Amino acid sequence: MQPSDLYGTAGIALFTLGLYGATRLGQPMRQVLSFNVASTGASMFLIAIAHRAASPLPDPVPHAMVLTGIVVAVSATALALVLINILGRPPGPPPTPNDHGH
Amino acid sequence: MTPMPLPGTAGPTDPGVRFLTPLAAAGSLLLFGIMAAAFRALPPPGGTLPRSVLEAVPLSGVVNPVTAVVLNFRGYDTIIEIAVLLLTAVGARAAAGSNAAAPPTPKPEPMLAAFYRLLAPVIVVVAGYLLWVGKHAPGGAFQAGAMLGAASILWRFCSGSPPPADRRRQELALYLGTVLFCTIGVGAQLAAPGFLQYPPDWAGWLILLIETGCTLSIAAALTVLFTACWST
Repeated sequence: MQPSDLYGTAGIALFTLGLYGATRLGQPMRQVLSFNVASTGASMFLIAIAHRAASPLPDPVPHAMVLTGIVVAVSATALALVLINILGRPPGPPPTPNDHGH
Repeated sequence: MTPMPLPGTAGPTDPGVRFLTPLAAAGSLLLFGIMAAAFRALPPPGGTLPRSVLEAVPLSGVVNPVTAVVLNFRGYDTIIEIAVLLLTAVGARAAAGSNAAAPPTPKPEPMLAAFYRLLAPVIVVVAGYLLWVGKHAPGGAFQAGAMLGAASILWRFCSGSPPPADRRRQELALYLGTVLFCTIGVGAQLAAPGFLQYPPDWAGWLILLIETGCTLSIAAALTVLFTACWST
């Protein structure tokens, strides 16, 4: 059992935990956090995969995928938070530019 | 930001769907078991992909294999990623609506503003270093862009006013990465073998140029996303 096996299994555990939360937690905010937990697990798994090789250099391809995935996860999370905020607004006419919201 | 009630009623307390919780738990556990078993059963690493990447790195114009993969061998991924970032920033700003220009401003803190004046140059220097070092060590556009974006968001926290960048410059920075990346990609198609296939002699400088544009774009997009979250 190598350290990378442990990290990879923990990544899978985080991924499935996040998936469970995303399906079973009713509130959108918690679902977004669950998806973040799942994506962290996926990144962890990919990094563990990259370190399985015997060579001292890790496999750069999974690393590049994680780097891409982090940025996409951040931007998707921010967009989801904006949409959640809009969902949570009290019903009524949208605020006018002069109105400072809320 | 004021706390607000979160919508959504189909929580675990909803009696109609209570049986779904053990079902979802069992499904997640089963999925974990399958994936963990598949991970254990993976053949020992010995594929040709890592070796062929490491062999091709000298042709990529950079020394760091991760940068070579991100910006040269799998440039498609990165171009789409920058476009996704641009799309979400534009989408979040549009969804935040017209009051995005007038977010609630916290009270200005003189000590924090003074501290920020000390911190900002350091952040900019570190961002420039990260951008440059990506050529031969871990670093690059994403790390540098995250630093610059953090500097811009810190300004909002410390000074209580929006970042002092004017709107037109922010727009320019937001679109710069995608436009530059696409232009260089298409230029490579017109002048050389194909889309995003840089000539090896120029590759290092083209990658640095793309990374510089992407750094500014990532910083601008993170700022726009944060402002949109803040102001809704």
